[in-house]
Amino acid sequence: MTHFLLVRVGTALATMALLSAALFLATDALPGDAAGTAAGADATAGERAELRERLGLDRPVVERYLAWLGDSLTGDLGRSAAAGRPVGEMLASRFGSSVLLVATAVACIAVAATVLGLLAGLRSGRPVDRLVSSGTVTLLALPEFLLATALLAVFAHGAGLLPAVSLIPLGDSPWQHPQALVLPVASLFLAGVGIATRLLRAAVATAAESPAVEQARLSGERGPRLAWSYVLPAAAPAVQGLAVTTAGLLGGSLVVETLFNYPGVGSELARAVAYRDTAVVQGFGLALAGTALLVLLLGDLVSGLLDVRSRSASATGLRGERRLR
Amino acid sequence: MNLVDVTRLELTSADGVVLADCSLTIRPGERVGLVGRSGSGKTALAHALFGHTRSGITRTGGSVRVAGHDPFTTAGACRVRGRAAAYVPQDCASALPAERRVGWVLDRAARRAGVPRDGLPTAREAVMGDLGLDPGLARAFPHQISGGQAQRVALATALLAGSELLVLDEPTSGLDARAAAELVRLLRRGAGAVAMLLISHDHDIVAELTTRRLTVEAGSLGDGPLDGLDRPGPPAPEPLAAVRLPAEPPRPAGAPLLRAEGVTAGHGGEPALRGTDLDLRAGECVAVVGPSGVGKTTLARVLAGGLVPDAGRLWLREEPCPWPVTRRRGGDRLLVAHVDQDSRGALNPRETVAVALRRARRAALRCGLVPEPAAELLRAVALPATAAGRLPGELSGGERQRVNLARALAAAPQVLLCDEVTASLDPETEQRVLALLAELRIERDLAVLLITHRAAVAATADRVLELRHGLLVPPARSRD
Repeated sequence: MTHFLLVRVGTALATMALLSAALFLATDALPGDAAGTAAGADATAGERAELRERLGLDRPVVERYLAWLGDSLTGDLGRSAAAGRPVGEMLASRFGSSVLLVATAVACIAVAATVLGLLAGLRSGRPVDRLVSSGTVTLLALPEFLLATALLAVFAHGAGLLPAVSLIPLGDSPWQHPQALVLPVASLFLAGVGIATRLLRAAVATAAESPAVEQARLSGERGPRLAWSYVLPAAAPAVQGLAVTTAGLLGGSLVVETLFNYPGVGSELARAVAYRDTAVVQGFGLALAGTALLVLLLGDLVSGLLDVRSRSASATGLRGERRLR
Repeated sequence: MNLVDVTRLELTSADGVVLADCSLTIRPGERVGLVGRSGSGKTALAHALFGHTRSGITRTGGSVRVAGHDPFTTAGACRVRGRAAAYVPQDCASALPAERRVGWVLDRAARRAGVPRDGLPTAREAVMGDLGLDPGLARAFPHQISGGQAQRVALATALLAGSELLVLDEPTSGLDARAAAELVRLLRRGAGAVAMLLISHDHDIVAELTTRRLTVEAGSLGDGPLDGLDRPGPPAPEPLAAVRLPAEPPRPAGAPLLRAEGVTAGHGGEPALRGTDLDLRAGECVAVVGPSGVGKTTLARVLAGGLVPDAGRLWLREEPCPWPVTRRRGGDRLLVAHVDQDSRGALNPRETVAVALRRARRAALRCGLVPEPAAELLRAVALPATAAGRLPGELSGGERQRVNLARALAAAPQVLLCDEVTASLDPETEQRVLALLAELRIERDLAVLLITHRAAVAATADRVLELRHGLLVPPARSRD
């Protein structure tokens, strides 16, 4: 287990290093840069070059990457060219709101996917399974902006039940305005519940055919008890599926936050891309990539812990005489 | 009123009829034995008593009543499963939930039978004591206990149900002679007024425990021949059984093909193997015997490279070799083949027999070996050619065990580790499998490690070793 942990953490760090390089190079390759945006449309070529030099954009890309990486590691993500505030500060004020949004959606997805996955997987091939499967496939096929727009049209513009824009006064937590959370969470939920349900359904269907579950049925276990105590533990590796879904939703939150104008990392990131605010794009991108990797790592660890066979015997607490006579 | 009433039951699979026109009655308290060839539909009949059919099998006719309930209806199944009747399956090791400790499994069984929460420890300890299970095993997970222990845990859950009918599917296949005798004693005593349907290929056990015997032959049920059952020896089958070990076995000489020294291994706690040594020469057959849970399977898994021991060294063809199979070099990987005891867990449930054999043969071909054709392998293990298209779940316990053996042989190994390879086989088929092993030893110089609890099987080996206190030693009692 320790070996597995070390290898897994090592891989995550290496992936993070690669991602940071890719992120830096990609933002660098974007047409236009902060100097162009800051200098304005009327600036002459000379003024732009001067601004470039002042911002340090004329140095070779490797040199700038290493400098940025070094600064990032010490916690200094640079300064926003558009807003003039440190990126770290902007991230701190936005990150909590995004985490709240994604975590709420993931919690709802976990509950719904467990219930639907068990229902469909335990009755695979029967009408319930067909219904759940076609429903989840439909959701999977719909892009999240379409889902969010549909929700907006129905609940905000049509029925007028919920605010179309998640306006949250500066300094307030989204918790204080739950009605502003409903539509963004619902959009993310619909975007993620399809894949999570399908992954769990497959794991449950496999577990349901296992000899242990067959014997449990023959011993008189049925219904929720069978599902909860016998089938679900055997399908536990599907927790990795939930981790993948969560990582995907982090990206999905970008679209949803922008659409609802929700004050999270995603909407700010979209704005920063539009303004070619490279420091913000890089800093926020790094934070999102790091969070996604962390979630995936946690998923692997939890599924490793749930597999009793990979745990060491000392951890399972088996001691002393096992043999008979 | 009869406890069990099966009337003209017919079960069908895609390949044809599994059971036809099968009628069976069991009176309350009556003990009925069910014998028959491997794959004749014994387990399917037992499942039908619980209203269950494996995927691929459907009930096409007839009716089943257990204690007056139809188990094929939802309400009837509730009253039969774990209430009126309790089932002890074949392949118990994989029938226990892998993520749960033994104690939890037993507690669930007691709860189902209505034992109050505070009475659970007492009920659990009582049943474990009855079955000779160490109380410490309650903390173990199924993968940490031996095949024989798993069988007794499954039996314990069935006894806890307190049913009127006990259906036992090969209950002694993983037990050594002494444990099997104890089980018989316990069943005679403990299950006093309980009716029993005992499926076994062990004619001794059937004769000792039951008052009426039935045979399943080619999908139909008939009255068993009462004579002949009392004799353990099977009626001599056709020419193959005549292939006995030569009077003068090719006494293997020279350097050992496989040599293990100072093997110390176990699933945590106290190691099952403590400095075990073993030499295996080409063409040699060594039997390893010992009581259930002593570490026989652990030894096989270590030698096969699936379980890395805490200490010890390994030589293959006189060259030092790492323990984990993943670190062995190409040819050395295929040198040792392992036939695991738990054939249900060992075979991929989504892979047909033909695909499993093809994969093993390809691995051999890649290493420049010459494996037998797949059809030849199936014939050698006495399986029909139609078995090739089946999934492991569609085979009987004995058939699966032979597929597992055929797959091991398909990789053209030089050392074969057989873990209870004949445990679920009827005597006739067992004889054929043993004859096959003898043949391979002569023709291909195959070295065989035969793990078994049956004295008759061990007797076919050149040497018999007993695993005692973690060491391989000559058996305590001289054989007679």
